[in-house]
Amino acid sequence: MRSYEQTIACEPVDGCPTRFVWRSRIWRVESVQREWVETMPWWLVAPRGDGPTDRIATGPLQRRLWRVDASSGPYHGVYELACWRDSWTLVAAVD
Amino acid sequence: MPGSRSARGAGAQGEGTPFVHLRVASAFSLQYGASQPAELVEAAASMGMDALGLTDRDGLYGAVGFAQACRDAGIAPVIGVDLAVPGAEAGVAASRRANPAKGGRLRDEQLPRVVVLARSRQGWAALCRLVSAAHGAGERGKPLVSAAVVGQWAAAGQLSVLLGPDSGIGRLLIRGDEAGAERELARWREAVPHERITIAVADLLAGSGAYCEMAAAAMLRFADAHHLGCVLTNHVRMTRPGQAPLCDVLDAARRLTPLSVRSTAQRTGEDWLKDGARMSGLAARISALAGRDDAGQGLLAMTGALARECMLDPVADIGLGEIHLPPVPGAEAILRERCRVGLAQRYGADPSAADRLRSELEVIEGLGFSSYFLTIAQVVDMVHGAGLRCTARGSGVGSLVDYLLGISGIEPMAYGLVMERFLSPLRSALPDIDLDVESARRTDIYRMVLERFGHDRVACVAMVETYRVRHALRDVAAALSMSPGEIDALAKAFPHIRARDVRHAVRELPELRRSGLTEERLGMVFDLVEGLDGLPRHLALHPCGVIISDQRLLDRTPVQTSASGFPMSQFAKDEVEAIGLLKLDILGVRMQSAMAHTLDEIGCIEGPEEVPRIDELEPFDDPEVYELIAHSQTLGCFQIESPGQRELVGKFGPSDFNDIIIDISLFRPGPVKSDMVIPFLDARAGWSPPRWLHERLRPILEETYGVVVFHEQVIKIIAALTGVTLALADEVRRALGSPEGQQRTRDWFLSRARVQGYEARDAERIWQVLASFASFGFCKAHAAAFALPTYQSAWLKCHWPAPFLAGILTHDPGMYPKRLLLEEARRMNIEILGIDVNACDGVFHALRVAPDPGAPAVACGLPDARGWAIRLALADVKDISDEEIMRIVAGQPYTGLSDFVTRAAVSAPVTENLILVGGFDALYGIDPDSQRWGGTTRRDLLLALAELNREARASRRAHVPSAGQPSFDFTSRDGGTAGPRAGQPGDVVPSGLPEMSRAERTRAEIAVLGMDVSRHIVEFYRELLDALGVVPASRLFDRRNRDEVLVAGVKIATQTPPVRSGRRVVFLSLDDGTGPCDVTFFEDAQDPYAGTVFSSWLLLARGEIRRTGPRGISLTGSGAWDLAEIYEGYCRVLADRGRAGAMEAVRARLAWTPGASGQSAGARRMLLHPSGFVQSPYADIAVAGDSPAAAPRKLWHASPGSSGP
Repeated sequence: MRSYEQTIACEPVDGCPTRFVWRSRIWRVESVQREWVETMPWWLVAPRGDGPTDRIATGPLQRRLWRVDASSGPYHGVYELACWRDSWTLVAAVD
Repeated sequence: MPGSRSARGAGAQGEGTPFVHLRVASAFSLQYGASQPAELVEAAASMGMDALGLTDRDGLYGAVGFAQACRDAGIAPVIGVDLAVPGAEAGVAASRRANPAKGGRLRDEQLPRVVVLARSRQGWAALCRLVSAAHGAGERGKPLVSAAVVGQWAAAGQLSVLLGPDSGIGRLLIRGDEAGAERELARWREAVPHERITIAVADLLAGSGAYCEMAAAAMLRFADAHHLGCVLTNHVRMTRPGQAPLCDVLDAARRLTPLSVRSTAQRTGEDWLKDGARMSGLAARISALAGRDDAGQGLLAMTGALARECMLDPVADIGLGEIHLPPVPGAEAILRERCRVGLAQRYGADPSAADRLRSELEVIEGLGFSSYFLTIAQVVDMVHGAGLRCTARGSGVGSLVDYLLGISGIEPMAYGLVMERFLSPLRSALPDIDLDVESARRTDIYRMVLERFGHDRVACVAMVETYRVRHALRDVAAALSMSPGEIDALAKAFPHIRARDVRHAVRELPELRRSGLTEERLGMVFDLVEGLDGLPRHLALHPCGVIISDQRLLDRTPVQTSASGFPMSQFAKDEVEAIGLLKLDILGVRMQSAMAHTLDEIGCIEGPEEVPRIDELEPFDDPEVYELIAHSQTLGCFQIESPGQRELVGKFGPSDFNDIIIDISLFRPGPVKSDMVIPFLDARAGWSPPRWLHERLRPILEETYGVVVFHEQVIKIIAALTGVTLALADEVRRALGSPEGQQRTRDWFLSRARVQGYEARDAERIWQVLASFASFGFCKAHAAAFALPTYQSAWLKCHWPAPFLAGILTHDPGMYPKRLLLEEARRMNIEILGIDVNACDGVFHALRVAPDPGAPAVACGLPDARGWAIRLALADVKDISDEEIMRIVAGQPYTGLSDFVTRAAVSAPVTENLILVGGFDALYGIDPDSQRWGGTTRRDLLLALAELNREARASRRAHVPSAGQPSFDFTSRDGGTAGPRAGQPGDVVPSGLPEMSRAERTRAEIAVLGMDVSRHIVEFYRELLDALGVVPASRLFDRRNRDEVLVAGVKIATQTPPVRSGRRVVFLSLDDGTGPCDVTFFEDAQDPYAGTVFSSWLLLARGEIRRTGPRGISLTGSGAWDLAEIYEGYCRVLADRGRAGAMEAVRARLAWTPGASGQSAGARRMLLHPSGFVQSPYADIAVAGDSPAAAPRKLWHASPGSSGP
């Protein structure tokens, strides 16, 4: 398992990932193994003293995570993807 | 078995059947749950759920309120408790290390938990007893149970045990320790019937740990394998998902750690009150993982089934609306007999009294309250029997029965008091009788009550302290890792308002705007502070409530031990009332202690036979007392000493006891707001004729010159106009308090009045007056109860001024700092004797210093107590402890400093303080005012003390046992050498150091005692004040109306009382040694100066003179400055540019107005009273800054002068 935490492009359907771009390849999600959530450090998200936007983040304070089986052509892998406020992250790749 | 259950469940649990949350922590799980019980109930009801659980941590604090909310919402309560079970299996208990930064104590040990649900009324009783047992077992505040203890109460089958992911079994399963989990299960099966044990799974969508779907599935498999019931819960901590940050802050506050990614790692924010569809989804996901093929239906069915088994009836099971009085066999006969005896003693054969008694007894017996009155009489008799002061307060004073039983000291019929205000056949609620006792002896009285009625029948009432703005700010700011200094400054900047008003305060209060506490900087902080608003944060002992009940008390309320060691119900006042337990309010009143001390002093000086019987002062007609009151010399007197009251009694001039009752009733927010005071005073002074509402109402309104002041008058007017009983009239009066009630009763009132022969126009007019005044009036019985100690204290001040001043200085009952009381003593020519280690003890004492001063002469109402003195108390010496005082007193007399150091064993700083304020002056013949060369001085003593301490340390280092060693006890009484004079200890040799100057001594007095004993502090600024032309308070009368003047003095009070306009007005009272002076700041002057007025203690103020009456004068403030700061600036410039330059600089400073703070207040909130009056939301609340008690020691913070000794 390798940690990345890198922003990626992802195409969700009903909020669930279906395809995403990783290392210049398009990966297709074949199945979802697990789904869970994590609390984001909301108190850091809007740092104190940073202008009028300094409120508790509106919208979800947690990010949703998926562990998926994905394939891209001949390649196959297990990835952990996260979505928070419509932006997607590749959290880890499972070797 | 699992298969068959799920098949049955699938049928029973149809698509529409709502989910029931069985595990719910409300805000009464202190610093854990984020939602109030009522909020959860409302949310559950709106989702169509027909039942809801409440399983708070460690107690049933919220259960009664929850049951009430459920009853109102029409859903069934399921009530349980969530308790810690330590040491279930090695390694499961506290696995986290204590953090040395928190004093090595772990705040949140995260012990395994068990949830226990009540299944019936017996179950509720068992639950109460189990919770009490849990609190009795652990260390205070950390209740614990074991399986065996739970079993003791669950054996009868009336409790259900839920074991969740946080139970011992849950934790062992997560670690994969199936065998350990089985052993743990065996422990529970030994104690609790098998069918009463249920596994409760929860899936909070965590990535790992106890609350992920894998853990839930493992628990479900375990339950199936061991034939245990299994339910689905959601570990609810909040109503909405948006409250998750609040839960994080609560966790941080509970654990005393700042928020960090690590601390929230296990949190998913999914523990909210999810709807049935979401819960079904979770049930399906867990069941599938656990290998069940029913799509979660079995889990849901089992959850619903357990909920139905545990539903409680708020009335039949929890006992809402019941009444439980302590049993007194033959109560009615005993009460009748006692009243008969009392009647004969006090009224002889007065038929009207007998009639009144008959009707009161009828009501009491009709309601079945005889034992209630007897129980209270028992308590009163017991307190009096112990020689302690005790008197009733509140509406109970209106009852003749209370008077005859000796509960109240006021004869109700003479003052037109009615019983119906207190007790009515139309209300079956228990009436309130409150007892005022000596504050210093209140806990002794609690102990007496406990002993007399027994621990199984008595418990104190709890009080829930909730988050208000300051605590909320502190906890939020700490969670967000602000520095302690920043947190402190932030919190103290706010007045004591509700947390939800934090933003309004910032917008509206100029002193906050000016300090940069803005939305931009602190938006997130304010969001969270608002979220914490009103959440319980601490359970404390109610200051006065005591429950006295029957042997089954502990079946109705859980009990825990308070910080002071008293058994305390987990229910607060309202809950105790809701389940009908007799609650007696025993209030500690400092004035009662002060008066008791006064009487003790008189007894010591004059002999016991001379002690005045102040409880037998009827008919309260001493002219000297009224003379004192009319001259506003009421400082120190109960209820009538505030600046506003002094102004009012000066104008009013009460001349009998009924006038005192009226005065106390008039000086309340309602009458002041609604302009009742001026018409009353005008009519009384004869300036305008009294206006009776109607000629027929004249007998009712005579005493108050036509102004409706009392509830009793409202009741009687309603009765007169509508011809109903007083009891029904009181119900109508209560209805008038709300706009809806007014609407409901109006037509009824007008038509009944017509029947009684009142013109429609008159009735309409009277109705208008009643409707607007009803909620403002004051219960006359209550005022009468207050008037008694008011008269008693004024009487003592008149006739025994020095003992009385010693009493109020010791017990500090009033609103003024002690230094002002000392000032009052000086005005009465009482000599002030300073601290003397051989003469002082823990309290203030009065003594005669002239042979026979005779009765005090009176001048301008103020008694002259020449020939008396007051000796200061050691208790006021800074940092001194009670133990130190006890040791000092036990060791008196001392022969010298070293003798004192050896035997009294007082800490060095305290001894130093004692020297600084002259505690050894008498021993060493020090007279600081005679600058005789070569004598011993306080500085010499300080040197000697330092030397003694050095030697003591040296001898300790050399392992010589220190105390009492002659090695450093160099006292020699045979002196004879050149140094000390004969008769003085020889252990201190004069070193030729000069004595402390007068300024230094006064500074020491303020720093050590908080009082300027030898002279008034303002005197030290006299030169500057004279140069500025500052007017002494006593000379203000010489100035013309509307003159602009400067005044200076020590702040004695700031108040923000409600005024009719709805604007905030700040009243500042200053004392400059010649008398008090009041400055009023209206809103336009507050913007630049409110901060100074609230935060400084020594002030220079500018204002325009406003004459308010023949003796009244007040200033309209237009500026305020910190006097010490002005003086500092003056001294700085003085050095460079001389006097003229310095004065010029000061004048320039006073002429400069700080700019407005920019943001204008904008749309301003007002509180709208039902009667239509508006009030500023900041009126009548404690103001910002430190409490006045903490203030005086700061007076000298920046004053110049030589460095200390």
